[in-house]
Amino acid sequence: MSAPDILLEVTALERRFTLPRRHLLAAAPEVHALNAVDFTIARGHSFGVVGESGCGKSTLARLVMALDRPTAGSVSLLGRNLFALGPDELRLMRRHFQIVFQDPFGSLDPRFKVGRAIGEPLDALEPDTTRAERRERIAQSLADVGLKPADAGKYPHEFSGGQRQRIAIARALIVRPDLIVADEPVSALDVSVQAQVLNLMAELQERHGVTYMLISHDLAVVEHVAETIAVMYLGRIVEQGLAAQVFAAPRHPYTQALLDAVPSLERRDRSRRQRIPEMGASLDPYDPGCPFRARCPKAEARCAAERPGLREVAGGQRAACHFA
Amino acid sequence: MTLLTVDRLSVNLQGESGPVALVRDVSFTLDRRETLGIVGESGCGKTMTALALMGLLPEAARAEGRILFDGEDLVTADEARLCALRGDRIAMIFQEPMTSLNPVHTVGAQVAEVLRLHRAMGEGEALAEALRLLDLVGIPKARERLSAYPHQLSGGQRQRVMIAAALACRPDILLADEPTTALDVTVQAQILDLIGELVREFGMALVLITHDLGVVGQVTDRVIVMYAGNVVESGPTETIFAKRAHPYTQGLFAARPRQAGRTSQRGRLDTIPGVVPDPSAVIAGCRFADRCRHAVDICHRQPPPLVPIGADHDALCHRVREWA
Repeated sequence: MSAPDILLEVTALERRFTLPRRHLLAAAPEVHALNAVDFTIARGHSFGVVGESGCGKSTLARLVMALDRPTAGSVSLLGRNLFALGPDELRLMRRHFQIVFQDPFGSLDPRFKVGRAIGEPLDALEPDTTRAERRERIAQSLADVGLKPADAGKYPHEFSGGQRQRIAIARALIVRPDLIVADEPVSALDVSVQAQVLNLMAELQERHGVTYMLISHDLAVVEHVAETIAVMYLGRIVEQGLAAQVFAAPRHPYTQALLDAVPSLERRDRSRRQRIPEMGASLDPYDPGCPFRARCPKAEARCAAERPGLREVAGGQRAACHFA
Repeated sequence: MTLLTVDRLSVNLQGESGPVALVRDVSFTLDRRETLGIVGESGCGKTMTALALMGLLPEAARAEGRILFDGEDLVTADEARLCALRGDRIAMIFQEPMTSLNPVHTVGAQVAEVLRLHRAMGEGEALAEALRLLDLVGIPKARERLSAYPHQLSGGQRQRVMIAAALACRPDILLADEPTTALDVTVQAQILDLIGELVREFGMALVLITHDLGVVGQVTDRVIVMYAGNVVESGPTETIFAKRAHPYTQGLFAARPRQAGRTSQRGRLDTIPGVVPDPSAVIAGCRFADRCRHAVDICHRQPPPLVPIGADHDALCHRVREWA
């Protein structure tokens, strides 16, 4: 992949949150929500981030959207570090990246007609747009997601969950962004509707060359959509590479456990699988060892003493495990 | 031995313009030690069916038909009788363990409450039994956890507490409504294992309500598929997974992003076009006809018959014999 292909580059990204002190003289405890996260997304491709609650995937989305500032590291879009820009420059950059949230009921204001909701990014980011052009662009955006221009005059409650998610996508599309961050875009939808929205996302990618950063806990959805993926655990990427490769031959014990936990008919009669225990994760940011070791079936003494870094385990596939 | 017979159960909601049927003519039986899955998308009536079994329907809803539990009709049973059965012989666990536990009582007190009510145990005796139950459902350091409040536990642990409370009186039937939908996939795997083990150990019957076909496949012996209030297909789980007969069941399976073979497959998912009809819509024929690619004239004119297509395998479809 040559350098000009790269749309988004995330480098050594770190985010710490300071928690309230336990008592007056105590040091304020810190949570390292994100640690040493590095990845790039090529233009026109889809990158998937998988992980369970608390793994840092939503913190990552907020940082990529420049809705929060990192403790260290950078997010560069089109070669420009978002956190080195002044407020006006950042505002201008925002038309290049948009977000679609999980909950199509919470992300649309019930008092706004759909046309106003979809036009809002245009009003904020391209205020010079004429009224006629604005109307035209809203109609175009609605058509792009398979809705009718007349739908602009309706309220969100007149639409089903799947249609609302289409509206949210239309709103993201209207400024013709290069990158769409989709944070669990289909998790709240029924299976048959989920398929419609996933197909729509694929179609828009073909038609407009949109790049996706897809965040999901659903392995099947990520596998379907993304070419490359990162598996996150407690704020770190523990495995990354081509989706096909990682799903076919996961090398990190956490990725293996995740895949093994997906319920299916085929797996009902297998002798009780090896389950990873629920708790026991090391949250101490200064712990020198592997954060997964307490739940890991392969853990040895070395894992407590030394944290494994991400290293290449197969062509293009990297895992953070001493035994991968 | 048949423990529960549901015979032409309908649930009607009193609307402004007459009753609206949310559940239509649902019939099934449940044997001791049997696990039954009820699968379907939002609004298909699966939760209403479960609430009818518990006598917990919302005020404006009315059940018709018969629910024979151990020879007694629950539809006509009075509230006092239902109160005596609920939590004792029929117990239910819900999707969201945070909202179904009371935040101002300790988990020990909430598990013990069931025993104090139904078994007239004293406080000490009930707490001792609660301790045994928390231990049984795999809560680590159960003795310390007795005095913990729900917010101090993780999602998986809270669901374990709910299961402990549901099992306290050794019910004959456990109803589980999306018990793992709010949980991470590795935690879901543990909870499904736990429910499976306890059902076997206690000899309970399980009714598992879910939208997740993977969960149905892994846990249940038999499955009923619901659509717009109707049971559209029922049969042994393995039969239905191997040979889905109803066009809706076929569509539901085809719409899933698959992990089959763990190979990445681009391209489009099959979708079911259109949306679920409004429950108040008057439809002369099959309620799925508008979305069905097999629909012909008769499907729009006459309600479909329940057609037997194999051992204990039925589908509600005019044309199913042509392909099943």
